[in-house]
Amino acid sequence: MKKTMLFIRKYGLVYLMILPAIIIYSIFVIYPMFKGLFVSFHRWDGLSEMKWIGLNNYRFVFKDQIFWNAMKNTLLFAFVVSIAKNVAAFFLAILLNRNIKLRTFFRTATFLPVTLAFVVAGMLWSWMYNPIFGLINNFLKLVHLEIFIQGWLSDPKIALWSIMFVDIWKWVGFHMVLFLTGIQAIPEELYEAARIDGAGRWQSLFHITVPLVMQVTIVSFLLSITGAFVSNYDLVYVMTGGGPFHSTEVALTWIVSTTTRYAAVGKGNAMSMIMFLIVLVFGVFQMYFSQRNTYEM
Amino acid sequence: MAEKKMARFERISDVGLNILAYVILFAVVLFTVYPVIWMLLGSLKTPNEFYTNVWGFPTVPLWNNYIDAWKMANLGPKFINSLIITAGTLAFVLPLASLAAYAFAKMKFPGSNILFYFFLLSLMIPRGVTAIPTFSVVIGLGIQNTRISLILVLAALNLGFAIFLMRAYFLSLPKSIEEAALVDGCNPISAFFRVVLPISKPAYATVIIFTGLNTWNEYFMSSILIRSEKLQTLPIGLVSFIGQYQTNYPQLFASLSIMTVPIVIIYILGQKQFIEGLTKGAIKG
Amino acid sequence: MSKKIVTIMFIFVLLAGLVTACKPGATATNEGAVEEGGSNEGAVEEVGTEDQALGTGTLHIIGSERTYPGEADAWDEVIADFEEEYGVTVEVKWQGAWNEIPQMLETARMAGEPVDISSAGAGLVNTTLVRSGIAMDLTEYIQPFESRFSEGSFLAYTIDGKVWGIPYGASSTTGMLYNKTMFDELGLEEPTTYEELVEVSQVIAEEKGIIPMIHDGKAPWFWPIWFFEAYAQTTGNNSIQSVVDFLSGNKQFTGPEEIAAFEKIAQFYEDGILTQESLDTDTDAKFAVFAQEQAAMFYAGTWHLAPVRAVVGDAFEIGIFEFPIVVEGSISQHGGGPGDCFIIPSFADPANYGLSRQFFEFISRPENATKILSNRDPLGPSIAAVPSTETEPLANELVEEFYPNTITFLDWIWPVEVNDAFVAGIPAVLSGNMTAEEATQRVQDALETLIEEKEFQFDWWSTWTAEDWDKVTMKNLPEIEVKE
Repeated sequence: MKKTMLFIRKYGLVYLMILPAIIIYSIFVIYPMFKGLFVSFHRWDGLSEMKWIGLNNYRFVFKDQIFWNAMKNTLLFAFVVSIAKNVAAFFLAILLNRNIKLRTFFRTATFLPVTLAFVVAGMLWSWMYNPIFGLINNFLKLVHLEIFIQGWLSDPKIALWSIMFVDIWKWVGFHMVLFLTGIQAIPEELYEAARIDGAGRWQSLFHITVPLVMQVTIVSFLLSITGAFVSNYDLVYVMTGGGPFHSTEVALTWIVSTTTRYAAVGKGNAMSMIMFLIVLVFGVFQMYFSQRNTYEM
Repeated sequence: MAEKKMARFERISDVGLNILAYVILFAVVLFTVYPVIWMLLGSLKTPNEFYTNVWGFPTVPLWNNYIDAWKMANLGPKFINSLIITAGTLAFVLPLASLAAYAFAKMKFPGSNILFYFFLLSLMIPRGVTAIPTFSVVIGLGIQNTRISLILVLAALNLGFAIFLMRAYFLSLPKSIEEAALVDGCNPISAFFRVVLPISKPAYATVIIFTGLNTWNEYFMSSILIRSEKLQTLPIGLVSFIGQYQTNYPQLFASLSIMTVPIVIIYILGQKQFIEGLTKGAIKG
Repeated sequence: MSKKIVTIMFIFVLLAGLVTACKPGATATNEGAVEEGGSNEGAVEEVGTEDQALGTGTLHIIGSERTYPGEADAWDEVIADFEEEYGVTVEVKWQGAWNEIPQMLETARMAGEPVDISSAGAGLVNTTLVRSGIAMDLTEYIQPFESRFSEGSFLAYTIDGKVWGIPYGASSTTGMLYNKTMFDELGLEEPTTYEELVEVSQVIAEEKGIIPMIHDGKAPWFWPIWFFEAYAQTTGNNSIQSVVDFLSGNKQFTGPEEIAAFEKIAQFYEDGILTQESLDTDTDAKFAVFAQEQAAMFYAGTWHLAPVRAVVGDAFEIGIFEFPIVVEGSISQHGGGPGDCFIIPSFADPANYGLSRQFFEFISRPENATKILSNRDPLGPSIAAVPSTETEPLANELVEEFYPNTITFLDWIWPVEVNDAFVAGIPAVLSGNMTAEEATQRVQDALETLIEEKEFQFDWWSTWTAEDWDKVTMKNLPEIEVKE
């Protein structure tokens, strides 16, 4: 009894602080997740009765070549896009951190694509990539670089890369803001001290800036990875619908296809669960890394 | 001597780098802004012109497209609904997330790690799998077809990221701030309110931007949870332009612009706050 | 100390807000739900009184967003007239895209929302809705006004001899649109055979240096339509029966006719009629290319006519010719049919059968149907009395030559998974990434996977129990008044 009282006195307030968040989260996210898991053990077309089929959906998913191809695409997408976004954003943030006039202007401008819904960005770039009217091909023709003309969205080998580029384009501004926040949180004195010690620009960069924005970097990277797994549906759907020949099919588009067009909700949910597990593994890895690399001031 | 040379070299390359920086940044700006301009230009063309004069300025700006789009899709109420939903979601996410994040960041208690990872799970859930089950939960609570149901669901979905970000931010704050406050005799809670909160503006700003954007552009959950026309949000209104067989692109772009421009304005205005917050946040001494 | 209290209060306020928000506020879901006024329960005979025909007094309609300009207003007008004439209320909700109808039905059912009528598309009806038991059998239901509908319009909605949907829209067909002005200029005639088409294309390519024919290869669902035409010819104009045999497991899809169909399509690419650009072009770009005279022809559906005219304007004259003969001795047969319909959900309140029946009678009256459907610039409207659009110069040619040669779209018969195999396979064969044999094997595999994973049976109706049938059969249908 006394122990409990002590416990409550010591930790009660803390738990109270997280309680509302936990309640809402559990009701509206976790519980539906479990329901989704439940459905994944059934065959269901979304309209008639569900039929229990145990692990069969998972068996079907494992046999489904398009799904694994989509997973492969998704992984490629996630890594390439995350690395590219973060490197570019970091670089831009450093540039912007210098005493540059019009900093606000630059920052707003690069952030603009972030405000666009994926659907908008997708449609916009679909036209840019258009082989006949597209700005890209027309521009290449203008500067006599026709050899670079490709079927940006129709060539199975490069369609996915074209889409990845749009994702990077859209999000660079956001990650740049994240990095800028982190960089500007570094106290000026550190740089002063380093300069006094004779450190050059690059050394400052690597020994002060990079380590101290590690926390931000991790956040930024985790966001881009999970985002690439779980929210690139609109973009791919609008630009190619997963084609040509499923070469741009990502896990999400295939899950939605399976669930809505094929009316195989159970199988689609099974795919979601598998994907969730895969993303979870990545997340865990990343957490583990970040624990080891956090710097305390 | 060598030092002087180094310094001069540094100064020149400083200028050089600055110029390079400008060039790169301008290129980036062109790249990121032009497509949006294109969207605005497109919204003022006739359908014919949209296809034939793809890149140039409209010969006669068809401002009517905006009026037509507004009327056809009845965007007025939808606009307001989008505002309500976004504001409502933020109203839930900000307090809940910052409290929880602070607890996770600064306080030790049993299960803090587990609970934190618990929230992180939401970042990894593929969208769509929770759609219909969420709807049945909403029905079970008797709040179907209300704005609050969508607000709660979207808030719940965005909590994970908000907590994650804020916790990271709180962690990166130098302990010295709190130590100073604690020395003055405050307990952790008042330290939170008095000292940490005011300098957390950048974190808040980022969460507001991210969650705000997500919510404003959200279609999937909205289409499932919103069941009557008077509660529809903007993204749902857009569907009326994407016909099964044909799309009136200029009008579509007009409504897309209507959807996007407020966000841009808010961001531009809010920027001043963010800059203030950022510079004030730096700890001196 | 006080800060602690503030925090606790803060949290409680939040929680309180949560709890009060959970009270059912303005939920529109249970409005007008089952009032037992005028229900059929007592009636034994078919002869009902006017009260019975009016059901609960409120009719609930859902459907996808009305996309033709003016159509939503026309509906409002007609509905207002209906409400006045019969003294009832109608609640209509147009929301979402056409392919979200299954989801809309399911969520409505889950929420206990009353739905008396729902819009739907022919593809969905045939592949998903009826076999899942969510649509009612309407064979008897439509009798009072059946004759008002154009001949054959119910065919697309007839399964196992029963009618499941009420077509309400325009019938479509397909053909090749071409730049008539350019043809005249080059002294070209409409080609009827494939060889003629090749010649025409060569002339165009040489003289004008443009793409002979463009296709919106990026619109995935349009590729199968090529197959319908080719397959119609390679099977000696017996494509529908062939597909039924295939789906019933009576024949494999890897036979010579099937392979030939794929090969015929590939030839369009080999002979330079279609080019690489087609794979990258979506529907809007296709119009633009054609309008800017960068291509002289494109394969179109009648639903493309209005948009393409909007883009082309007066720039040049447009003509249409039928898909060329690729197999000597066959007839050119096009896919088509009335794509839009209404169904009665199986969870609709039986008390309102009479009311919804009267509603259909009302909207099939010539004047009302014309009000609504004329907004679609219809060709071959499903209500016979509605005039085909007069603004389309090609209307006559279509009605006289094309519609008679139109058969049901094959993708309204075969399931979505099989269709996807075509969607992926056709362009693959076209661009040489897959052989015709492999493509047909893919289709066969798709069906077999479907059978394994979903226990697919084409003739699902033979697996239904009496109970299943009972759920979709209307009982004690009240009579309605039919105004000529």
